[in-house]
Amino acid sequence: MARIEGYDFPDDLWYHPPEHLWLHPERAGDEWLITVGVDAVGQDALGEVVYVQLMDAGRVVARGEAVGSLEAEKMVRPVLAPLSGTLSEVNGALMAAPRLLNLHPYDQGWIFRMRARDWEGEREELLHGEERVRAWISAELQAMKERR
Amino acid sequence: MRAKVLPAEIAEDFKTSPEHVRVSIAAAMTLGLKPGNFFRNATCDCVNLLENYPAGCYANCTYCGLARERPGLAQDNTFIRVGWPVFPTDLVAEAVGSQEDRVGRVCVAMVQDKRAYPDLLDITRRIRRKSDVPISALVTATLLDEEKLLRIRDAGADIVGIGLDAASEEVFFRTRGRGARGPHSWSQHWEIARAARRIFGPMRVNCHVMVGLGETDRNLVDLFYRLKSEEISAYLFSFNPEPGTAMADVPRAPITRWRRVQLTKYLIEQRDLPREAVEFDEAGMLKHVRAPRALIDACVEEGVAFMTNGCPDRNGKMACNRPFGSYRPGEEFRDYPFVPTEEDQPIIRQQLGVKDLGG
Repeated sequence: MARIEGYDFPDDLWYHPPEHLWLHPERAGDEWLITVGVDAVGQDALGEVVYVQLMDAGRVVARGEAVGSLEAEKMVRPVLAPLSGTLSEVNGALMAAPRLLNLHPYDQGWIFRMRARDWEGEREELLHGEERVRAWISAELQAMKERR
Repeated sequence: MRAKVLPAEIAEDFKTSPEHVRVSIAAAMTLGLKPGNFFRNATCDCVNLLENYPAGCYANCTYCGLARERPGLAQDNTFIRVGWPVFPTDLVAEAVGSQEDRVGRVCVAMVQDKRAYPDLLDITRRIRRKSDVPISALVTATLLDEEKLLRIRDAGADIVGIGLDAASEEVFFRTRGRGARGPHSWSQHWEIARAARRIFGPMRVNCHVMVGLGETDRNLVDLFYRLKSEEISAYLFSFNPEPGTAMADVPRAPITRWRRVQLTKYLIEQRDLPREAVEFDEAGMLKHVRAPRALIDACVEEGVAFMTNGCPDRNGKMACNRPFGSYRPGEEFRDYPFVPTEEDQPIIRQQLGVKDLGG
């Protein structure tokens, strides 16, 4: 687990920097099942989440397509699919209790699961491994401080 | 020995004013007391503080999240639909003092409670000791008299806000007064507004006015002219039903009505729109505003008419912009917390129904 200026970044996850999403891949037979959530810095930047809106499971989506939105008290942002594939499950518990995303971003606060169409190909766009994640987050936090 | 930990909701009961205050989420984010960013890079330029007591407020306004008869514990409830986290007053005063470049104004809001007036003075003085930032007192008129207004000024406030909220005496009675089993009276509110006007000066007193409590547009327009003639500012708010309150199921004013009221108010206040230029239908709702089309277009392009009304910073620039205070960031804008952009203009124009407005 990388801990960077108080933010946790579990080592076993993959990260999607533009949207501050984390991805947890699991082999399911011939397919890859990917669980997706917002990382610790992303949830902090969003503020306290009050509404989560998501498409129904079963929808085929392309990478970068909006699958829903996250609304905090003073912010709203789309949830973009970090990969192409099929939504297999959305987190009903999160939709009922949006604060789970802030309180438990890496477990109970997961957003959706998808069956990836091309995990090996598309994961090239993601970050994995403590060193790379640390470099990205450190630069990101520095930029945020400068913007303030 | 293990320390006893109080459950949060009980602990918050003990965090009362003046030692503690509630801080609007937007202000808490600005001061770095809470995480989060603003949609469309809005900023929050006024630190809004609210007195905190276990019972919330002893008044019973039918639309208010702090109402005495609203179910649930005061600390679990929202006010203006968002949480107001509690912080030590001195911590907030320190944060304001150390970030004066980002804070245009502080507003200290009273509730209806016997401690509210002395605590307003105490909180105002604590802020003033740490900072020169201008301070507004958003007062509970029911608890005040002229002498108390003088002391509020002497404590450091330079502007007084009064939550009139209702645009007519009848609506006031029904939503805030005895008709709502509340303590407030229309005449007392006007008495305090006029006394404050004498003490604080022209346009240094404002009355909050809500659109959507059951008033007619004629009520609103009459009130705008009346306040203008008395040199008291009118600050417009869009009613947004608060869950759990008596008005939870009352719909908001349609967006076209809201935009037209914003525009008419602006034309009255800033462009001296004559009374006879405003026409109403039989129900007392706006029918036509006989202003030149070029003037209406110019107002849309300028955008100020559609922005939040609020107290200014020390340079006269509007500070109290309450970003997403009366609508969710995912919804269409009601009052813009910044100057609407070119992309916003066609939306505003459509919402106004400009073609039908001129008659």
